[in-house]
Amino acid sequence: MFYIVLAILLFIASVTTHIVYCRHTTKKGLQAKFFIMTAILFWCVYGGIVFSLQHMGILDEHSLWGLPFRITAGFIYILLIPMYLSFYVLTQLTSPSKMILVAIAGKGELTYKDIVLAIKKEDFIGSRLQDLCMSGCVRHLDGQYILTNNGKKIANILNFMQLILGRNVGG
Amino acid sequence: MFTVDELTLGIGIISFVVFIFNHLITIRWVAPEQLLRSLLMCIITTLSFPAVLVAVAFIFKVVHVSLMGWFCALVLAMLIEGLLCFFYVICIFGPYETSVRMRLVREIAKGGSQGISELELEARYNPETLVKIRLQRLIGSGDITEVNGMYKVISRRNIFFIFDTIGTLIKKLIGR
Repeated sequence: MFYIVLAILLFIASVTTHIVYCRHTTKKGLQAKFFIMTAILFWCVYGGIVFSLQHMGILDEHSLWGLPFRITAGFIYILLIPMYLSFYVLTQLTSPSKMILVAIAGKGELTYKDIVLAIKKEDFIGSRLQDLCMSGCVRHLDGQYILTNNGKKIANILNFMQLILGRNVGG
Repeated sequence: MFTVDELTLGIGIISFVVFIFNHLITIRWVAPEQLLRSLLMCIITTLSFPAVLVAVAFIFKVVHVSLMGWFCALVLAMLIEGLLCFFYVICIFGPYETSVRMRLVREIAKGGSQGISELELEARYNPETLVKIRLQRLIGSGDITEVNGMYKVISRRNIFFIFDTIGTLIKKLIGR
């Protein structure tokens, strides 16, 4: 279990580094790139330690502590990266479903009209449309919204997913 | 001959592939309101698959490890499968099914090279559509209920509030 504990400790170290960085940086917005770089760096540290230990032969592979889950631990570490990132991104984003639940829970009960009003206040569609324009996926020209090449690529991926999943558009 | 490490990783990945097949077969016929429940059922069902594979590997003595080693292999294979399922749901299926941005891209794509006017876009996708789809999903997953036109939260122990709690904790830690 040494390798699992090591991978988890190094992952906690990368999260801690990210948290400390976020507390001290003056940069606005998400600092996801910094976290990815830090996580990769700590993953390399894990690889280095595993490689060294394998050559030194300190751990007894037949004991519970020395069970050789080297690749498994490294793989779990990689899977923990998107997990943390998804929670981190949530700190900056509000999903409409969460907004609906919070609005209802806040008042105890709400009518359909009240829920629509709460959603309209947040302007989910307008703000997302603006994001798409700013990220270069959509162009706003003479009152018309047109997909750019990047936007078309995303639309093609979504069409392909629809083919595989066999489901209509969500939203 | 495999090592216990390769076996664990292999079982975790194979179980995830089984989940994907199971999911791709069932998702086609699931109504939007049953989506979350179906996904959860699919994950829970396939989480038992590593146990079957580890039992088979144990019977045929594919690797030589202690009983504790087999138990650890099972737990880790389940963890790998669970994390892969989480990744798939949050990063691939979730955005396809629920993202407002993705829906907008698809609606604009329907306009072709001419694009789509603001009015047309609003007619196809507006706050009312967004709320209807979500209320349908939330009622189906048992998170909210509707009685005489009034919507109520059934339990605060749902996935959205759990995510919110973790998100709030991270927000406090990063101080933003």
